[in-house]
Amino acid sequence: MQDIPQKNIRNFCIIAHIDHGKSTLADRIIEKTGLLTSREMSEQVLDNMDLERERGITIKAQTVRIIYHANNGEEYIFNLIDTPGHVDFNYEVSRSLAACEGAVLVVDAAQGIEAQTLANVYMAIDHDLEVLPVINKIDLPSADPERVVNEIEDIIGIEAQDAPQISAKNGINIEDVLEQIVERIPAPEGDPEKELKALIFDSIYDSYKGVIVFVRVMDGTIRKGSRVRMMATEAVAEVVEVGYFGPGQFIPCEKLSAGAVGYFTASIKNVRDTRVGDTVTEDLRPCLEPLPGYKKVNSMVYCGIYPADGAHYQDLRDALEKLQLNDAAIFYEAETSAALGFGFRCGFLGLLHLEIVQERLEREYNLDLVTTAPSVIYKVHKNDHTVMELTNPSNLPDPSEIEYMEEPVVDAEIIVSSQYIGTIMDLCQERRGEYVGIEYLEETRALIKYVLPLNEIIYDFFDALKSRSRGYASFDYELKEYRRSNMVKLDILINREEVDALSFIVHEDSAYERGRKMCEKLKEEIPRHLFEIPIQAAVGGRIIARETVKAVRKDVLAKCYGGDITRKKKLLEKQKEGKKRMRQIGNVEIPQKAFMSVLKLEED
Amino acid sequence: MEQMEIYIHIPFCLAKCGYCDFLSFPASQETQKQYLEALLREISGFPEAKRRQVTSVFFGGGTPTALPAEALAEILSLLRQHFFIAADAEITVECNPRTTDLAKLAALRQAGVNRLSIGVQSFDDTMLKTLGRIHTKQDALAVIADAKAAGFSNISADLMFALPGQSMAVWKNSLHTATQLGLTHISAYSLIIEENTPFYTQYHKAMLAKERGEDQPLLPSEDEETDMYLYAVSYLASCGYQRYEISNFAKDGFYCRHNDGYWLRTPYAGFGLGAASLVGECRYENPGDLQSYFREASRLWPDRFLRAEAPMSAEEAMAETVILGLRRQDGVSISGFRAKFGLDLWERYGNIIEKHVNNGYLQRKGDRLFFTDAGFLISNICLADFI
Repeated sequence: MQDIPQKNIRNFCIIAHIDHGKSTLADRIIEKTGLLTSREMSEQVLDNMDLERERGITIKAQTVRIIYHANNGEEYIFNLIDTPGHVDFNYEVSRSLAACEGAVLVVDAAQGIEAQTLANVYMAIDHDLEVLPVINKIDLPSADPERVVNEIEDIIGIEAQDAPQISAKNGINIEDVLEQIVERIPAPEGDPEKELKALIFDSIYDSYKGVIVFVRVMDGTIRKGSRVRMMATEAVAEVVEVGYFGPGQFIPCEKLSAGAVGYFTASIKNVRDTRVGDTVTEDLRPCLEPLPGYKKVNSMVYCGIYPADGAHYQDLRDALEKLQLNDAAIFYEAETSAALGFGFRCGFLGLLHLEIVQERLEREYNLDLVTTAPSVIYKVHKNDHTVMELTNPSNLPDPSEIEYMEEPVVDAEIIVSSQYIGTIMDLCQERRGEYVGIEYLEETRALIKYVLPLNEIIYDFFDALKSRSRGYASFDYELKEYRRSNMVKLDILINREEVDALSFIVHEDSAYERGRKMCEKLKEEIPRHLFEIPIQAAVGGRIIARETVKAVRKDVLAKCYGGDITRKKKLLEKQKEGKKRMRQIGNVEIPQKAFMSVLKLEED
Repeated sequence: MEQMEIYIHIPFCLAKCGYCDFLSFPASQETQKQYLEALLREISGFPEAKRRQVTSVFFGGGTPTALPAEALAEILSLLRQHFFIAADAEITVECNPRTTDLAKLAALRQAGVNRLSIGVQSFDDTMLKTLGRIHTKQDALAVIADAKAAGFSNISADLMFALPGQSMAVWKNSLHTATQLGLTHISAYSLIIEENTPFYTQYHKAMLAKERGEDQPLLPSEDEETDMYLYAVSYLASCGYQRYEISNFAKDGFYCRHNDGYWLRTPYAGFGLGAASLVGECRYENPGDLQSYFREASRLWPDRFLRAEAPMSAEEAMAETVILGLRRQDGVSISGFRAKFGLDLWERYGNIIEKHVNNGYLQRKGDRLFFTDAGFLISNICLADFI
């Protein structure tokens, strides 16, 4: 297979909105190319993390090399590079695109173009990829391929009359897609004799091989024994193995030459040395310039993660360390909370990334966690002209030391049916949005553009968006800039004691509303005690809202006879179990979920 | 000789009440007959029955008096053959005002029943209707008169408070009526809204609000309920009925020995559908559906002994001793605990006890550890610590 010439290589990815059928199409392509029999195909072979399968999204890019016998009688190597499907992982998407010459754009024949589709298409066009539209789910009763063809042509401006109309689920017209990949996506270029220049588009950690680096070779050749250098991180290593991606397995080979997509291992211990977007070259014969576009991904959202049981602090540290081996985007550092004890301040690409990491910690490492409200990074300009980057609200300096604060804002794009434009604009307005514009994609659908403060969307914006548009809105955002803003720290006092883990930064104008909702929510979450518990919200020491958890007057099992004893014991056990999952703050016991429930303050 | 108690479950009633989650239902004559036979088979299967002295027999339900007096007499007579029943054993039958008359009561007395527990619940017809009871205040008064006429001198009545729409005045009225009737014993229960009852569907939301300490229109608030309970405790005491357990009040010497046995962990054998037993530190429960019970009745007891399930741990038995014992007004015997477990109560539960003593919920006097009045009101919170 090494003999297949460069002109017969096709490197491409599939881009689509969530649920439009990207992974299913990938499965069908792999199936049709014959490397796997139908029996070997588990559903969606590319998404192999449990969590991904449950949520139906791709978190880590997966890649597969397959062989296609085209109608012209020639054999082609297809390198299908799967891309993550969420706005949190935009940078990873862009690097995966940079490894390709073409992109198969999957559009749902019923739903048409969504915000995520657009964002990805624009990104693909930015990378000079040949975009090959495919209309999927044509067998749905609500399918309207004609409309979708027009949409693609009008909105994206690419020709779509010849777009294959397929059903990935039912295997209809998949051959059309394969043939068009051969015909329309250009072969890679690049000189195998030149200095090595390869793009890292992903890396994973394997406990036997160390880091497995996924690369697209642009120029030159990478071989076993080559001494390579990662140009940005300056890590140097000797290549132990090179190979390509069989479905679900790594297949070693002799070398990877210009145009090839594959992997290498080099006994690298940490994924942080092999950052996505970095350029791999030969240590002794380096290329002159690294590939463009490398950036270190920065965390956008921070929160505190604490073990529910303080005794598991070390376990949490170990788990975070292991997760970070695989996910260079996770940031963490130790911190201490008066309320929660020892834990970590962790940084994430976005809220979904946060939720995924949290779930992985709980499921894969069997940890019981308390997570504090997520926060963005605020820039605190102090009177002494220093600037502090604040990720933990408790660290906010005294107001007298602060000259002003800045918060991050994003460019947000929302696509929604026109009937919901009003409600969605109301929502953006409530969230301190700044209206930018509206474009009608067609008569019934519009693209709404807003500048929104990031801290207004990290809590429950997405949920609110979905509920107010009956699930039909889609949403994409990108960091725009930092803006000066009147932010205050909202403190929560429970039984007159400040609970640091519940403090958060909020815009002055929303402080009262948020404070009131927090108090109401906490009143529901905190069980009644033998004494009355005031719950107060305060800004700068001034109480702005209050609720009271009334004292228990009577808590008695009226009846307990012979037949009741086992059941009544269980009731008491439950009462005691409940207490175990509580955090003692002063003399008040607060359930762990109270710390999280304050994230979702939007009324149901 | 080791003592034990016997509980006989009669799962029949004339109509199911809205709040009731006991195993009970109306049934045909045929089913009742089959049930009686199964019950007799089960009793006969109890092994080494004569080794223990039976100090109490309790017919509960359902409504035991849904069966004819002869059926109950037949059960009693089999028990006397098979077990060694103490001469002064307490023999109680629960009854419902609409399922008894003078003749039936006289027959029961004749058969050796010496205590009646009457499900009065309320002396207010509106409340009785709300509860879905089939009797009226008049029926209740009549059955108490009949019981006395039939020769019963030990009569208990159940009363309920915190009922939907019940005011303090209505509750007081029921208590005042009850104390005029020469009863020896009164049980006063707050209404518990149990899952899988019509009341649950109807009052679930109100119940949750009440648990959060909020007022709602359907049920008396927690404050009202507490006041009703406190009134019962002081009023009944003033009439000579002392609280001897959370919900039970009796004239001197008339506390219910059978129920007291549950709180003291006296071994008991339960016969009948879903009946529970505590024998040899094992807790057993019979099948809860009629078909399995009919099928297995003859095997239940010998099988259990043959299978010799592991008894509960000393740890669990200690916890039970405390959480059941503390339901009683005079609480737990400190020396009794040591004698039974070879461990001082304080060695095992010192921190918990001290905490609640300091908060004023528990009190120690001589050999007894018991709840204070304040402690009784929030007893669950304390008891959960001992689990």
